[in-house]
Amino acid sequence: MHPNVVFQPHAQQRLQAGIHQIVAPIRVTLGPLARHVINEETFRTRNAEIIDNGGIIARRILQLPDRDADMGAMLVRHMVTRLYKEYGDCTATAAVLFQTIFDEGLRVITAGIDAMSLRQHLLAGAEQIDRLLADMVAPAAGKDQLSRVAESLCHDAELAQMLGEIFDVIGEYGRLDIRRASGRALVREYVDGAYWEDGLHSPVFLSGGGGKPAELMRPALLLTDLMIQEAEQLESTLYAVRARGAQSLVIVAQQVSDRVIAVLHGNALKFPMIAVKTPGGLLNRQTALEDLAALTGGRLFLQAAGDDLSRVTAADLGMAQRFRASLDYMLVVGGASRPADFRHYVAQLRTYMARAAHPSARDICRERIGRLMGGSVTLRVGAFSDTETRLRQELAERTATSLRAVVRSGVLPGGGVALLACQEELRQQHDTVEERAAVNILRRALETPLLTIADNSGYDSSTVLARLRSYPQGYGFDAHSGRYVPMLKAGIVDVADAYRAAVRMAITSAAQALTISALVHCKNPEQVLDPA
Amino acid sequence: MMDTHLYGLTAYYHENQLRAFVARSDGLYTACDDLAQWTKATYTPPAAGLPEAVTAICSVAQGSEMHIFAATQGGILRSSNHGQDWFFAALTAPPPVVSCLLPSPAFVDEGLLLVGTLEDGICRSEDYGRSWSPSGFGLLDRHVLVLAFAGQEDIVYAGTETGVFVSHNAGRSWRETHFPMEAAPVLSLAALPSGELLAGTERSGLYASSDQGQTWLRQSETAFTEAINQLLYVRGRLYALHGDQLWSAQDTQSDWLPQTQTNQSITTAAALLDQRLLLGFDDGRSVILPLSD
Repeated sequence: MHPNVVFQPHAQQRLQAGIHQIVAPIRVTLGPLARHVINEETFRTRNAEIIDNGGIIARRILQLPDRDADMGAMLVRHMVTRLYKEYGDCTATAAVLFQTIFDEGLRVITAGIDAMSLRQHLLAGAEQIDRLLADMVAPAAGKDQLSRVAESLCHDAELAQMLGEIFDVIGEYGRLDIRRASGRALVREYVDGAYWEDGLHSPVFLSGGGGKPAELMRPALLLTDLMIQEAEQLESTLYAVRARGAQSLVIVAQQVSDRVIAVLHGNALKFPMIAVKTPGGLLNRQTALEDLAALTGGRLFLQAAGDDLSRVTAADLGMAQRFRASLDYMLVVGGASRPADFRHYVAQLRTYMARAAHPSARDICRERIGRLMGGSVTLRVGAFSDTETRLRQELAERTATSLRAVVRSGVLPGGGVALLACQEELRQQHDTVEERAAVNILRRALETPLLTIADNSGYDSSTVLARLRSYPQGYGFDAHSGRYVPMLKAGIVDVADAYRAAVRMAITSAAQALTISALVHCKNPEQVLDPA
Repeated sequence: MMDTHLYGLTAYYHENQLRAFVARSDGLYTACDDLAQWTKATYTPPAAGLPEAVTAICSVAQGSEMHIFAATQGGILRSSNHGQDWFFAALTAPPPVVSCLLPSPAFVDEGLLLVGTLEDGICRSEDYGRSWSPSGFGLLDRHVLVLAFAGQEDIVYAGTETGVFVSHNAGRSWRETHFPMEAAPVLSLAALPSGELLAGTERSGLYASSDQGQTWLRQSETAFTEAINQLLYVRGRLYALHGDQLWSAQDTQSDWLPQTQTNQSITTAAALLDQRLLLGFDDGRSVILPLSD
C-alpha cells in the first residue's frame, strides 16, 4: 500500500482539529466544580463509565474517525497518558496549555514566523517558567495541612481527613493499601513491621486450628532461594538456631517439599518452625531477600552463588522480635540487624532511588524503602453503592498518589495562580520577532488554566481574571465560594512536581507539534485492524 | 539500700512533703520525709517469670493529681494516688525492656506518653497510659536510649544507638537527623526553650543543634571524656551528669565547669522545686544536692 502523505496547510489544520476534539472533553474536568464525561461502555463491565480525570478520558478515546485529526489527538493522548502514569494529576492543565500554545503558535506561523525558531524560544520560555515555579514551591507537612491539600484534590472531607492523617505518619515512602469496605465505613489500620505479599508454604502452619496467621516470637530466620527437598538439608540450621538461642525458626525458601513441611509441622510443639515463600515474585526475589537480610542481619543462601545449606552457622541466621505470616503475607517486626548497617543500607536505597532514571525503578525503590521503614497502613473505603464505592476507592488511590508527591515535592498555589505569577517575569524578555512571539504565546497560555477553571465553575472567566489582577500576588479565585483568597493559606494547591511536569510537557510537546509539516499514513487502518 | 543498679528517679512535693520514687534493678522504691526511709512498692506482678527490675520512671501532674508511671516486666505501671495502688498495662509482645518514659507537654489535655525500649522501638499511649501501641514508623534504629520533647508539643527527639531521630507529630512517625553516627550512642538529650537541642553521648562528648538536628556542633571538645548520662535544664542553667561529676554551664555558648565530684557514676537525676537536685548513683544510692546559683 502506498503511503498517504498530507502536506501543509492541510496537515496542521487537521492536527489542530484533532487536538481540539480530544481536549474538549478533557477541558471540562479542570477545577473543583468540574463536569464529568460518560463513556459509552467498558470492555470489562459493559456499563456506562463516568470519568472525571483527563488521563482516563484520553485513554478511552482510542481513535478519531478522521485519520489526520487522529494524529493531532495522538499527540495530546501521548502527553496526557504519560503524565497520568507518572503523576496521576494535572492532565487537564497540560491539555489546555497544549491547545492554547498550539493554536497561538499556528496563528503566528501562518503569519510568517519560522516554526523551528519559535520552538527554540518556546523551549527557553519553558525552562524559565519551570525555574520560576520552582522558586514558588512551598513544603506541605503536618496532618492539618495535608488534609487541606487532600480535600482540594478529592473534595471529600472525610476521606481527606483520613488521608492527611495517614500521610502525616507514612510520609513519602510508607506503604498504603486501599481496599473496599462493606457499608459506608472509612477505616484505617496501622500495622507495625515490614510487610511482604507472600506467605506460608502450607496452611498446616496456620495457628488456631487453621484460621489464624502463624505468629512466632524471637524467631531465627534462614534466608534462601534454594529448594528444600529433604529434612537433612536443615540439620546444620537447627544446630545454628540452638546456638543462637532463638525461640523459633522461620525458613524463607523458594520451595519446600511436603516431606519437609510434615517434619516442620510435626515438631511444632517442641520447637515452632514454619516455612514461607521467598517474597518478591520472579522479578524482585533477589532484592526482597536482600532487604530481608538487611533488616534481620542474616546471610543469604543463593542458587546463583552456588550456596548450599550444609554449613549454616549461628551468625548466618537473621533474627527478629516477632514474625507473623498467613497464606498471603508475612510481617517482620523488630529485625535485629546492626542499626548502623541497616541505616547505611536504607541510605544506599535512597541514593539509588534519587539516581534512577526510570519512574518504575524509582517506584520499586520507594516501595522497598517504605517496607523497611517499619510500618504500613490499610485503608478501607466504603460508600452507599458498589459504583460509588469503586469511584471512591479510585478517588482515594489518585489522591493518595498526589499526596505522596506533595510530601515529596511540596505544593504550588492552585487555581492557575502559580502560572499567572510567571507572566510578569516573562514580560521582561527583550526579543527578536520570534522571541517576542514565543513570549506572547506563553503569556497567553499561562492564563488558560485559570480561565478554564472559572468557566467550568459557571463564572465569567474574563471578569474573574480582571478582578484578580487587583489582588496581591498569591491570591486566587476560590471557585467553591466565589471569593478571592490567598491560595496557599486556603489550602487550594497543586502538587508541585506534577504541575511543573505538566507545564513543561505541555510547552515542549506543543512546540514540537508546531514544527510538523507533513502527515504520513503508512497503512490503511482497516487493514491494520482486520487480521485477514 | 542494697547494692543494685538505679535506672531512674522522680520526685515532687505533696502537702509540703517531698516524695520520691526510684526505679531499680530489684524493684520500685518510694520514700517521703526528705528521703529518710525507702520502702518497696507493692503491686501484683503482671506475669510470672519476668525480672522485677523497674527500668524507667516519671511523674506528671494533672491538676491536683499526680500520676506516676514506672516501666517493668514488659509494661507500664501507673498510679494516681502517690503509689498506693498500681495498675499495669502491657506494651508489645514479646515484652520489651523499657529504657525511657516521657509524658508529653500536652499530657493533661491529651493523655499522651511515649516509651522508648532497648530493642523494640517506641510505644505511644493516648489515654493516660491505659493502653499502648507501637509507634515507630521511620525509626530505623529501634534501640532507643532517651526521649525528649521540644517546647512545642508535637516535636520530640529520640536518642538511639546510632544517633538522633525527630518526630514532628508527637511520636507518630520519625525521621533521621544528621547526627554523626560515629559519635553515637546518644545517652541523653535536652531541648532548650531557645530551640537548641543538646545531645550527650557515651564516648564522644556533647553536641548541640539549633536547626532540629540538621547540623550539629561539638561542644567543649576537651571537657567531656566520659559518658554523659543525663542533661537537665533547671532554672535557666544547664546541668550534665558526666561520669562521677555534675557539670554545669550558663548556656550553650558558655564553658562547662565541674560543680560536684562524687565517688560513683551518677546515672540519673531529677530536679526539685527548691533549688535542689536529687541524684541517683550506679550503686543504687541517691542523694539530694543543693544547687548553687
